[in-house]
Amino acid sequence: MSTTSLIDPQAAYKKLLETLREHANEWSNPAIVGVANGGVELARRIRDDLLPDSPVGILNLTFHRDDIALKPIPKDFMATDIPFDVDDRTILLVDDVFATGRSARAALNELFDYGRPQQVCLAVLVDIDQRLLPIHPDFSGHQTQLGAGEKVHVSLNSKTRELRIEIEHS
Amino acid sequence: MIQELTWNRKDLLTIEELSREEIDTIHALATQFKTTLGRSQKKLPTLRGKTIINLFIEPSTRTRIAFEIAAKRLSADVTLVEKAASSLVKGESLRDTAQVVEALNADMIIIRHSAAGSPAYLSQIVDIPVINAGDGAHEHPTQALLDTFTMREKLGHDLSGKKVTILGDILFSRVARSNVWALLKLGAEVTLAGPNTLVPKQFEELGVTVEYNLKKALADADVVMLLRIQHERQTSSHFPSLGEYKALYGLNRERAAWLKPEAIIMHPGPVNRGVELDSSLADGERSVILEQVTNGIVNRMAVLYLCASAANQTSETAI
Amino acid sequence: MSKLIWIKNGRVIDPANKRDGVGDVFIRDGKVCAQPDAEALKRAEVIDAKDLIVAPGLVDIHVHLREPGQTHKEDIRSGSRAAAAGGFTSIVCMPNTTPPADNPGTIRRIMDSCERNAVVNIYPTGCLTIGMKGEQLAPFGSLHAEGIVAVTDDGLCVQNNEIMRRALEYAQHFNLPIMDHCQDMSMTRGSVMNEGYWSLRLGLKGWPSAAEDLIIARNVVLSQHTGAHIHMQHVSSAYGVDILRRAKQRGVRVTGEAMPHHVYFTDEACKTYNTNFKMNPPLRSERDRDAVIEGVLDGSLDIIATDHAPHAPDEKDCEFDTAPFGIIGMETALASCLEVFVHRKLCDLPFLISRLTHRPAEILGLPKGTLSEGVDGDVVIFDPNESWTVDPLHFRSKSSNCPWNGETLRGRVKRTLVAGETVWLDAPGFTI
Repeated sequence: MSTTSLIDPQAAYKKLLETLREHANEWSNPAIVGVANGGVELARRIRDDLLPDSPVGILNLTFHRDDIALKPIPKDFMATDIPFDVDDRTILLVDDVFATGRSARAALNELFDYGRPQQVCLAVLVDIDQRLLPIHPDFSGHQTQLGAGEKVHVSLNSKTRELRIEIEHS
Repeated sequence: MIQELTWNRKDLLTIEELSREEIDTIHALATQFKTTLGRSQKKLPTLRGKTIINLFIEPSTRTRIAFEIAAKRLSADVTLVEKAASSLVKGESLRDTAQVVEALNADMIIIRHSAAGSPAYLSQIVDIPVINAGDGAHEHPTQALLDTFTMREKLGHDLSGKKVTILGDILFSRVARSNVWALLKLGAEVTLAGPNTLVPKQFEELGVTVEYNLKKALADADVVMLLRIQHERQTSSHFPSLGEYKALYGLNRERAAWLKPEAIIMHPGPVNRGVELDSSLADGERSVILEQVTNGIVNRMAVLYLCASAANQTSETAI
Repeated sequence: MSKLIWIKNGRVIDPANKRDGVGDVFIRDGKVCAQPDAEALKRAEVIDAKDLIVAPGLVDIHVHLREPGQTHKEDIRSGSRAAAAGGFTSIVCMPNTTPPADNPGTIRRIMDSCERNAVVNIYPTGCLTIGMKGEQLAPFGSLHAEGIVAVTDDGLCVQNNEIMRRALEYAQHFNLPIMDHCQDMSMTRGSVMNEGYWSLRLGLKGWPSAAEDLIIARNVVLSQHTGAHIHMQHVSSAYGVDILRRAKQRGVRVTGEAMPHHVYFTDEACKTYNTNFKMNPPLRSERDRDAVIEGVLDGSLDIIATDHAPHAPDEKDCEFDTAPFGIIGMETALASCLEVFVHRKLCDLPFLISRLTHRPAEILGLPKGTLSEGVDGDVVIFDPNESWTVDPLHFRSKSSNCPWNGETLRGRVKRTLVAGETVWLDAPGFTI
């Protein structure tokens, strides 16, 4: 197994931020929700860089997934925490990687248990486009195709703010 | 905050075999589930399509309903098999009943049985998860999970050094045994109290204190947990009468005054009002009895989720 | 022409005759005999016992053969073969059959079946009370005439002291010993394992050793009062051993037996709720186990017997509370006792063999357990050091409720002879 960093993380983030900025004025009363665990730090960073007055929430999809038969129990668990009313807001759903769309589907289910947002947008840092559902991200920092046996890992250190994107070959 | 989760067992048979980390894991998920109770849509899709059998060889209402609600909140289908309505009364063995249940494509069995050790026996027969909902005088793991969860909510997450007094019929109590194990693992100090026929001194070999002086047992307790005195014991030689029990060990207002002001009162239910616990105390400010019931749902949801997931861990395919 | 068997080169241990040394055993026409002349020896069938122990066939005075009535668990045919495989050549069967052996007809039926089906010597016992109900004395005289060697309500201890007293008196008419399963029933209702730390921890109903001690003490008192011989079966408690020890010092006619499982295991074995550790009296604490071992060593407990109690697999395959009491023991007795007593150097081989041969025979007055000239040629040949792993599926017993399942034990029975006939040979495919 080996990893390479072919994608420039700073460029990807910068592109994502710019795309978001173009549309930010269209949103009413926006709030940012990170999908646990990978989207949470990213959501906070977008808040800092783009929407300093908007609240940030966390969505944990563990109990909404449709693949309990396939997924191991996660080693680290970040509980769902939506400390604001989602009704009539624009919710910017943030995740690190977009692949099949299943996580986004589960996130929408979980989110709608909390209320009725006016609009939901999906922002991801990397779109690897293995889409299996009629769902796609509204904003992405980088688009790429993965070869067989490849996986993408995104990490964002909350202290050093170091952002890494790595592709794992097995 | 990131919570580390530790779990890899498909069966929940005893508290004794759990690690502290596993108890923490159940409590962390129970906390998460508790936030969903306030929603108008209380149902989660987690166990959609799963069939859970409530195999209740010994009758029970509260535990059965709590498990049923927990399962339904996670979208599982629940079927009740009771002894009276099953082939067990026709002489079918537990092995055969269990194998039939498994052949019916059930995904999980929740068993309540009067025979100690029967959940462990069952788990050797079937491949699907087995959850112990109380086996004889042995263990009642989910009760201890909800009890310690409630204590953590009331006294703070760290129970180390907290003093818990369990008062009543310890000898025949699975609730007491499971709580002893859970509390010791979480670092609490446990005192068992009651008449010596129901609280043998030998319990101290488990690592607890046995105290026959009620005043001493209550004086520095942070929690007093009362156990139901069973009417049927009146006919056995273990205690003269309910009246005598009430006179010597019943928790009334006068004795409650021996407690620290912030101490809480717990009871696994159903309460014999006026026997082991005075009505005014059961309904009073210190009582957390109804919160125990609510916490029973979310802790059982956590157990069902964890055991179902562990049983299904066939692949680590990421998406 | 007579048939001669020459067992040679083995270490012959015959405790009754204080014999211990490498030598020969000769059996002519089924009887042990002195060394024949050289001419006769040329025609002898030779059994080479080099590096093996040659001893009198073992004697087990506490066995359940389940015939008549419960032959799905065991019968005289399978039980006697299990005995042979364990090195036992004489066994005493308990009367709790269906119907119980409380009448001459049932005893005769058992004897008839033994004649047809048994490969070892079987001595029946009769019930102490009718139906083992503890209410009315069984007809000892008629039972004795059919050949019983003792009376007992094994498994259902007589609670009524008056009945017990009269039984003891009446049994003396026929010189019949009484064997008693010592258990106060009022203290053990619903009990399934020893009362102590493990019963508290496992939430199982405890069977206090005091319930055994009470009846042992009662029996000592009644033996003293009536002069009758009472044999205490399967003594399992420390205090019970002590009561026996002191009674014997005072000359009371009491004897006692220890079980291999009570000296091998403790009640901790119940912690997995494995029903093959459920028997009556139960496995007890370490202290009790050590006291029973000590009792065997100092003679307070005279002998070792097995309480071989077969139960069919589906009867034992259930919840601990509902499983029947009892385990099989004949095919593991020698090896498990060798492990506990000899391999741990608590006693020597002759001592252990005496507790499994002439001492039990003497308790019931059986002409067995020695290699004296003229007795039946009942012999066991074993390797005390050969190690084997217990697999009850390979047993001759019909049942497999064996707590040693999977254990590796040292001590293997190589050959068993009853009246000069080989009834067990440790070789693949041996059948009889």
